[in-house]
Amino acid sequence: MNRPFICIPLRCFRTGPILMGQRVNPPCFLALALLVLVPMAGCAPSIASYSARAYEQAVDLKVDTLRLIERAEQPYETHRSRVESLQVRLLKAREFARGRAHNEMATSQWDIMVDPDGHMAGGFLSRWAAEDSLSWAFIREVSIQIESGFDTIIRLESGKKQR
Amino acid sequence: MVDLMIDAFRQQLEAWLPSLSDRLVPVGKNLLKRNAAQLQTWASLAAAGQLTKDEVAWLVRSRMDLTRLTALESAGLAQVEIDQFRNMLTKATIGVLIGRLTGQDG
Repeated sequence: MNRPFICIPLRCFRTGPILMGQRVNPPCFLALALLVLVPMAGCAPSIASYSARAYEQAVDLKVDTLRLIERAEQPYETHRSRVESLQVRLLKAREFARGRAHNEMATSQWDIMVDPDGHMAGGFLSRWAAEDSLSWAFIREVSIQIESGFDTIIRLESGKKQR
Repeated sequence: MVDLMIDAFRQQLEAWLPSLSDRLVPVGKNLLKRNAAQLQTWASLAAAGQLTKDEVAWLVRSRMDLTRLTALESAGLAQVEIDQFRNMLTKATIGVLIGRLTGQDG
């Protein structure tokens, strides 16, 4: 057995390691090893790693949502199928975020973005359905908010570390 | 306009949450000041008849949602940095320990 990562700990547990020129008792070494290993166990990542799929999903949805929103001056019925399809894709993105471990922040962001009673993409689409068509000034101002909202989701994903 | 909003906010807080008013007024003040330019734009559009009152109210709530999204982004990115710091610390600790065990520390 020539691998030092296996050999050294085994020898240390059997005979005790040499620390600062003195051989340490095996029980003392065990306590020392535990002191190091227990905090290490707590070092599981607190946030999910970067996901290329999540990033692409957010970018695609940003572009498609903003393109559809531009048409909200027209009657809702004209675009009903597109709106419904987009709503499903937004919900899928939220579920994808929710399914990833340690991804609470991104999931909360998607919750806000897709909420039909909220005031981001989901809320805007609900309002369009309720009012049939919306004013150009309102659409323009909402677009700025929603675009910035998607940017926060995209920046959080791209800021995560690749593992 | 922002000063009027802050006064209204202070009055509401004093009526509903008098014990927290002193602490929450500065928070609300900062939030309103950060969004002042946007609020002015919407007020002008409303005055010109391009936005209804209901639309302005919706946009203000949208701005609050955006503030929440930004806060979540900042919190998430802070977690990333904390993870990086912990990993660095763990690697350094293990390096020192292995060095001592093998007598190769320098």
